[in-house]
Amino acid sequence: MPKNVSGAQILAHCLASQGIRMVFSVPTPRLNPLIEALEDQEGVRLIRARNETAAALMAEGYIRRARLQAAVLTDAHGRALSQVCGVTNAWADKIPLVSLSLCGDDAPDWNKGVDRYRHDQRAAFQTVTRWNTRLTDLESIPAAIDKALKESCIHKMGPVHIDIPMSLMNATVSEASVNLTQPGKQSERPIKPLRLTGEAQSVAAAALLIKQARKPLVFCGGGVKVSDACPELRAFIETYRIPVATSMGGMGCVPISHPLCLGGPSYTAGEVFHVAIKEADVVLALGAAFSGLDGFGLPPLWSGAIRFIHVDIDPLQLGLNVQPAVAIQGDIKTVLNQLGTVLVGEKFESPPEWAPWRLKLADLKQARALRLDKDAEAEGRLIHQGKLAKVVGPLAVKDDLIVVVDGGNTPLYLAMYAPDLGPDQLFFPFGMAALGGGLPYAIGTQLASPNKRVLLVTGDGSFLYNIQELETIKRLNLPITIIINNDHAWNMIRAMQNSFFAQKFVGTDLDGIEYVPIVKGFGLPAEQVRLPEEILPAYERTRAQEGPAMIECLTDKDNTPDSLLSFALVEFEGAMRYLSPLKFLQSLWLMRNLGIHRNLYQLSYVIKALLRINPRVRRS
Amino acid sequence: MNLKSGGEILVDCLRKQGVKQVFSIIGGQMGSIYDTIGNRDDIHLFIPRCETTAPLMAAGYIASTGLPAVSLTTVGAGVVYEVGGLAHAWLNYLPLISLAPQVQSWKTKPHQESLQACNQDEIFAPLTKWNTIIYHWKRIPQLILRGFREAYTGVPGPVHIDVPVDILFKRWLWSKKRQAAWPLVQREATVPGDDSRLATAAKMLASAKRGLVIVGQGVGRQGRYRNLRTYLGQLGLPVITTRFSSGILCGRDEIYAGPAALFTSSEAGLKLLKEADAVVLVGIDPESAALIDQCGAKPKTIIQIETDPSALLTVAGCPVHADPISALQTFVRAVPAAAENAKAWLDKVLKAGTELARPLAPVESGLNLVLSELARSTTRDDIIVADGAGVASMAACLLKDAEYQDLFCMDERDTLGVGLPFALGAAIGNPLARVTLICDKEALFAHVRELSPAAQAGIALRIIVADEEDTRTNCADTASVLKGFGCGVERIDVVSGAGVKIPAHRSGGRTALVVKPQVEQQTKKARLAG
Repeated sequence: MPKNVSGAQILAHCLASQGIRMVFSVPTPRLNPLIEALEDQEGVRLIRARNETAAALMAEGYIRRARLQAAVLTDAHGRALSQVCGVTNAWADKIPLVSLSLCGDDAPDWNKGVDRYRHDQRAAFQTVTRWNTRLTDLESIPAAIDKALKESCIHKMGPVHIDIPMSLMNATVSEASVNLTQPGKQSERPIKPLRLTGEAQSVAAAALLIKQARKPLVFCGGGVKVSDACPELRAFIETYRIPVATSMGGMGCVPISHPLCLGGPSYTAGEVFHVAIKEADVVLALGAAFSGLDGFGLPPLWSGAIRFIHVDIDPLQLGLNVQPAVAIQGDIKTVLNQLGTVLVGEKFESPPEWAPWRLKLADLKQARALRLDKDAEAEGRLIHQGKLAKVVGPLAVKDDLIVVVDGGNTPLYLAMYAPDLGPDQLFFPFGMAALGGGLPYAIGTQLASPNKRVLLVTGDGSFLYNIQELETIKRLNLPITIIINNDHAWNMIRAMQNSFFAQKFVGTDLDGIEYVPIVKGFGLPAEQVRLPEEILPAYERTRAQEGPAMIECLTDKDNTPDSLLSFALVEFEGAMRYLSPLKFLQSLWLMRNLGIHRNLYQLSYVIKALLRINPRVRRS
Repeated sequence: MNLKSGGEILVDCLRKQGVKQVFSIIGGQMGSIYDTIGNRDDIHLFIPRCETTAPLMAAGYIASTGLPAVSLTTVGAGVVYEVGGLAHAWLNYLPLISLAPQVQSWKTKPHQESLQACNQDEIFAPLTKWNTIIYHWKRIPQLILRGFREAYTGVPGPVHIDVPVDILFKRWLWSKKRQAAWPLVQREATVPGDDSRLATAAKMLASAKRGLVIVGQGVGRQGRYRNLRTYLGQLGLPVITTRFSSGILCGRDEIYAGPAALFTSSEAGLKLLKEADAVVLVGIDPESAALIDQCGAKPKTIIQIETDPSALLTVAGCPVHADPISALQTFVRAVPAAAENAKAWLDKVLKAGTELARPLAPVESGLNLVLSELARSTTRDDIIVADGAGVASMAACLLKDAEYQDLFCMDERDTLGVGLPFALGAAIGNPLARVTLICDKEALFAHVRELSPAAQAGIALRIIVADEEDTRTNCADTASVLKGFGCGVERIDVVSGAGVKIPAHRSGGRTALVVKPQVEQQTKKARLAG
């Protein structure tokens, strides 16, 4: 007699046999059949989060660190829509997240009638997923899961979403009518980059451009990490001795301390980055999206005269912002090897006239590092954020910690005083730059690397976003040390109000919040630190305890990272000119109390922005 | 003529529509809006600690005051957090105005990898009555006005408007004359209705012996039809509500029989519903639509009153396109003796409601005991918010005879943990009221962070938590978490009926009562216990 199987069993079977081993969820009675079916599958682990947004963010952290696909599963309606935040983050950061949620049984009401529960749930995910569907019958489940997993990893990666009508969970069908035998059952599902070879002609053209260059620069983005091309990249730049800058996403591709690396990612490297992108004549861009964070690769931040060689697996990225002289669609690792072969074949060696260019950038990098050190050591009532970053960085290197960063200014400081962390060691939700992703990310990355301690460095505002997940950390007893950079403000925005609105601080102060009792309330050890020299002993104490712990560092809200305003220049391009110049002058006058010498660099940017001075107009 | 920025014009428009409260977390793109708000003292900001709760707080404010409120969240990251919260306003017919900045108008749609850019309007399209992007500085007033009209017209619901940063920052010459012409959107829609249809409906009602009124959530919450309860009282027919609309009436209303769940959960109740020979349906929602079937729709007179003609059901024998106040006024005038005639029927239904509540919710133990104690102690100044799967339905039943200013019972299909931010929004909107939140542990924890800004702002709130979750699925100690956030906490193990004392409200402070479960209730299977 043929055996009957339920929709929940089919779904669980398909997910497990396709290699999904980790499912993040907030269980509800309606999800029970599926959760029970998943529990019956061997090797599948369910992680319970305290709300759906956090569940999706946890899954994302897990996927990024483990390089394995994972799923998030929630109930319908409001609970499904709470996933949108995590899914959008995954979309912006190109992470193959599998998002599953229940939905109503009735067909969506396009007319938006009074039955508001018949809203079109899938449509809300449309714009932020690579692919999405609403299941209609049990027979289509295996094909839908298969397609979803494949779509999420083709070329540019990204999230996929599946809506599961509730009645399908308990509906049954004979096993024979569903194709449950999947070829090559997988124990887990690693994210494998597609090895796409670049067109030989374009590679030759790129090699020619590099040979002709007088001030070449390599700019690498997150694509380098996805393609697993960090060793090839390092070998390439060391062979030809080309300076390298990274985007936010590409942070860690090359060690910061490497003599050819410009320093922190993108504009956090400061003047050296700005000089490099203004003076370079040929830029080899690898897996970089040229997002707003990197100034779009366009003036006013970048020189308009640069000839770009843009390598990306996704053809839609090519020519999106910069108009490259040579565009190569291909896998970074493969193309770098191809490029190397061509250059070796032509017996090309790093020309001596590149040396002064390298030297200039190295000098600037060093001068910047000295200036930052001086800033961090400045006497102050409270801890300087730079000092905190300087303590935290070496710690992460020493103990081989995974570092997760969250917040506005906090990641900027950590990037500016960047520690020498590897490509899989530092995590920050950069594309959407969503505050509050840190705590769920820390949980996800820790679950992906069970034997390692995670260090979460977070701002005070962003820490509260998902504070309910302290319960998850406690329940799972995860070795996570949380360091709060508590400057008592939404300081990225406060700094803007400082500069452009004459210190009128509206809605940006976060005074009077006691974090230690809050964290202790969740049953975690917590302490407050007021002096830089207290940070290290406090950390050692948390390490000795092995479980989770929190250290709150009181920092000075009047410090502003000098890279912030070059960021503002891009973010508010075309908008800043409407700001009142009188208010700006007033701000300058008020800022003298903070020590105007510390703000000179950032002020030069403000002035450029206000006067719309474009140092180099587009020549071509 | 004077110089005005887009942000200033926007705030002027909001003020013109009566907005006094904005729930928002700042983003750089909102600089000009915040600067304007900082310069004015007639519009206030409340800063939650996550964008998800901004629309939830606004929902609590709108539902409990009837005044408009705005949820303002920043581009991209902020907006996507907001989605889960906005879904609540959508599902519960609340006219919420959601505003968000967008990246530069020339860089959006299709986006070009600007930081935090995504097609926010497309995400919101299925969850709002209307949404748009303001592409020109001069169109701000027109489109904001349209947003309010869409939100309040017909069956209310949320709208979403994106404003690119360059439009918000643009400062140019602005004529005061233009501003004077902005009309105020009427929030209490008046649709007089067709006289002949109303007369037919009144005639049907006059010939009925056992009329029943079902008020659904679609009618909107307090303030939308302020006098609704007065006219329902004059009509004199028994009224039942759905779950979320259960606070529209209270024990003070002599015609209120209780929430529909009381009647539909037992044979006796269903039998009584089937006895009704005429049903007046006001403000339809999915639960009340389902109720029509349970009343045995076919042979009956069904009079449905809606301001939105698209909401009229095909099963309604007499659909009336009118606002409930106008229609009820007409009925009261046309059938003055209706109340008199229905007296015996009304008594029967009310009595049945009370009797049905007893076995459904035994009040000898557990949270039910606390709820029934609460029902005795509430007054006209109380606003009660109930959240959590078992808690909300129980609260709707057990508080039906209580007196309160308002009661909100959340749907378990809604966003998780709506209760806490909703209650805070209600407390902000009603500083003189005493707000109580009753919820389970899961619902409390989902947005527990919001106790932090509540402490900062000194908002008074009383929390009653059913602490029944298994420690294997939630290992945190509820009382110590609440204490960590600065709440004064008492805890009781309500095992028997002896001596339940609910802590009093504390001015400007948060008090909490943690109710431990009975042993036999703690049988939930431990899932995902790690």
